[in-house]
Amino acid sequence: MSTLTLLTLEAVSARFPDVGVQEIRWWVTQGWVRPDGDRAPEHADDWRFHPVDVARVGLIRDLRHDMGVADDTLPLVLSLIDQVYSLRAALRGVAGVLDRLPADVRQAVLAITEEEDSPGP
Amino acid sequence: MDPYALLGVARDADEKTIRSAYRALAKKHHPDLNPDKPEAEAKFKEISAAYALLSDAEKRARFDRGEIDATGAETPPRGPAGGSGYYRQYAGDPFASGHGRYSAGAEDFGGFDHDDLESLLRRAFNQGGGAGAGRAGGFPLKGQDAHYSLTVDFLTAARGATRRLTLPSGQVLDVNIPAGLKDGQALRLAGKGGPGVNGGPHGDAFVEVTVSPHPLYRRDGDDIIIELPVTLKEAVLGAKVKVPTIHGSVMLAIPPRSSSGTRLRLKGRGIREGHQVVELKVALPAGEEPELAAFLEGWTPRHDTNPRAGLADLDREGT
Repeated sequence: MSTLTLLTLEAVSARFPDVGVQEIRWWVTQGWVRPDGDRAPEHADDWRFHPVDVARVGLIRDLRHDMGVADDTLPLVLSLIDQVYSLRAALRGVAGVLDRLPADVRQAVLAITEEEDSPGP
Repeated sequence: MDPYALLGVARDADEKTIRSAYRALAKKHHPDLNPDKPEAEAKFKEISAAYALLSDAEKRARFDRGEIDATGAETPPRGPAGGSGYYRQYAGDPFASGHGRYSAGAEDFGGFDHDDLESLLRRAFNQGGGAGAGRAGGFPLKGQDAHYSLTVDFLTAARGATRRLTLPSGQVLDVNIPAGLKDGQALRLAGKGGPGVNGGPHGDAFVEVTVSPHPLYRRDGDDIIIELPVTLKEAVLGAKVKVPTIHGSVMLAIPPRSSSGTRLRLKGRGIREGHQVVELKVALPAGEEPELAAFLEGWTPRHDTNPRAGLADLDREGT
């Protein structure tokens, strides 16, 4: 397990040449990015960004710059993306549970899944 | 790779056409929107590079003149060393630091955890396989177990009884407490939990019982122990005294010459098959007894044994 490097606001901004400190500060106060620390703008110096937060900054940058998602639409898009990832986590959880069932039960689950997949009358 | 072909635009396309073509492709191929397609990342990088080249008038002109190739405008690699730096890499990883902070509803509920999974499965099963499954009802599912706690006094736990428990729902539950129930023990009331679904059985109720201590009785397994004060006269001469037991008072014969600490057994007076053990404790008269004092002054015991004789040996052992 490698040690975890948490970045400051300045350091995050430095990673994205076309994303300014001001922009990221706005995204954090909107709750789109959630670094460690009090998220009121006056505490911006104390924010610490995990790798997931840095990647999130990259995602928001791509949505706005590359895909032309407008700021008033961005919360909706982020919320849908978050829901997709949560659902994927839930599905992985279900798959994990199924995986721990006895072999014959798993077989039965597969059989029913195939039934449901086949085109109905 | 020809950037015009990548973006699917003509060589003479204007800036606006190129931008909208790029945006359409970016929406389609962004890795975070395609978590299951590893190839999306390479594709997105290609179209990003193509757009970086074609959106820069100077670079585009140089490329058109053949001065630089399509990779001449490669954007610097993104993210921390060793990783692609895309969001999907972290959002789906339950071991990533900060995992869960962006889960849907994380701000309110603290993300997705196993309890959510359980309720998800319960809901799924209760709905009988989900909308459109075409089945009437689902399969029978046992109801949820309920957990309650109950405090009973020592004698109730020792003798056994029925206690009535009123649940928050107003429902009344008669709890049969078996004789000899121990502190902290849980009683399982089969079928007294939540209702089953689709004809499934009720869940069970678990009642954890706390037994409050008694000022007189103590317990050692199924035996009941009490300390019984006796007078000096009763201890020396013997007597018949009334002794409380958990099953009511009985007469106990104290044999002559009983010391403090003597243990007498009342057979079958404990819990179930257990006994009651009575530990004698000699109590001297509360006030002054000049006659007794005068007698002891002039008294020479016939069996003058030293009750502390063994202590010296034990003391030496320790050194």
